[in-house]
Amino acid sequence: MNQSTLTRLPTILGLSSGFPERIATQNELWDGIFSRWYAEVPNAWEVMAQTKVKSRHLAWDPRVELATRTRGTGDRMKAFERAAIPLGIEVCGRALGETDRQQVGSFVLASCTGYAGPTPDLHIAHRLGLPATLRRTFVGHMGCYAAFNALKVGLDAVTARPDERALVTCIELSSIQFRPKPANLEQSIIHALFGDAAASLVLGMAEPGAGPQVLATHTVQVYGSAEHMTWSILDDGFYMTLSAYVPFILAGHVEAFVTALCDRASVRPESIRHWGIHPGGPKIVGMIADKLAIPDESLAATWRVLETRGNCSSTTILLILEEIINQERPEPGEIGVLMAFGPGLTMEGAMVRF
Amino acid sequence: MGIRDLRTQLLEWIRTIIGVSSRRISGDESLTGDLGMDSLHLMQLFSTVDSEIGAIDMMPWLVSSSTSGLDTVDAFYNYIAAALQAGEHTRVER
Repeated sequence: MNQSTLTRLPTILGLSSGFPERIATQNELWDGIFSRWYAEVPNAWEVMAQTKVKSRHLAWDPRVELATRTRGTGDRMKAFERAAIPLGIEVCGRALGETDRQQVGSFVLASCTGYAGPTPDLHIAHRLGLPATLRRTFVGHMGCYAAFNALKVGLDAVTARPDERALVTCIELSSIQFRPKPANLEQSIIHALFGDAAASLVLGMAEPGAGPQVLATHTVQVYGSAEHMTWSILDDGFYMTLSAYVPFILAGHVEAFVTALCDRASVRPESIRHWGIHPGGPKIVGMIADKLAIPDESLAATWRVLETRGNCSSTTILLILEEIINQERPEPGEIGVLMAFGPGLTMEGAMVRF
Repeated sequence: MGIRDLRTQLLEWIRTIIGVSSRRISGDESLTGDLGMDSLHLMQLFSTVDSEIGAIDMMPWLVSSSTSGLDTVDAFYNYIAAALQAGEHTRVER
């Protein structure tokens, strides 16, 4: 094995994000609908403001689509398909750029906010002229960390077939799952947090210098904690519950998690320069940052995405990575850690070298 | 602190944190359900236990408590009492 084989690693060769056109501020949504839904919830406006979200993109405007009633799951799935396919074509096309379409051997799409058969990846692949022999994978219902599950499929694909490219995409349209009831504190927080976004990245084996390289990934399932976060399918859409203990469970595991990730990458924790933490909520980010002694300036990308896009489920960590690249302008060789958490409870992470 | 006093003390801390000084709290009430504690309240409770009683590994209790109401006052008390009896805590000397 020669030196250049050893230094070729899975590399992010392209990354692009996209959003539904409609933007709404928290004030607009409060005045337009949430003040009505959460009229009986004490301090609902203050609680919603504590999420630190200021505006979000929404495929479904709740002031229109949910003004007088909830909606059936079938309705919501049709709306998802209608919105997700064009958005997917847009972000995947942009991420691919000048990539030879015939070189794309694998396409993984993750979503937990809508499903259709055939899955949207088929239609996106067709429109983008991807090969008919494409290996497609749909990662469904895994939740906020699914970008990592999709990424890991992509990593395995380019490692096994190093002459090919893998397209890894997340499309999450949480607005299509909003619901008027139950109208309690937990739901008011959830409805203040989530927004819509899609993002796509292109993976390929490359030498350092072609893009951020993925050095390692790590996963921990906190077995026994499944009831702390649920995402169920009801007759009138998807329904989320979230326990107040989630930040504590995650914070209690995160130091060992990062140590293990560093071990896998043979990197010292002190050399981590850039951080992306999925903002499940501000408390999760705060408690994890505390535990890991992450400096405030390293949280800027995370906070900025939360503030301007909301929690976009699995897409969020890709938005944060894009923000880190564009705003922090990492120097070549600098190390970054990306983490996300969700149902399980499950902790996912990746270490990249910019 | 004796085990006998522990329950009284925990209830007093909970009452103070959620601001219900005169309300009787029963052992089968869920901290996050019936008593409506949020992450901020929980943080205050855990750090009070940490500073007044000592560092106790709460993770097994955290994982097994759940939104279906298993995080009762009694369950919380029993866990801490058991940890104290087993000597599984580090008393912070001041």
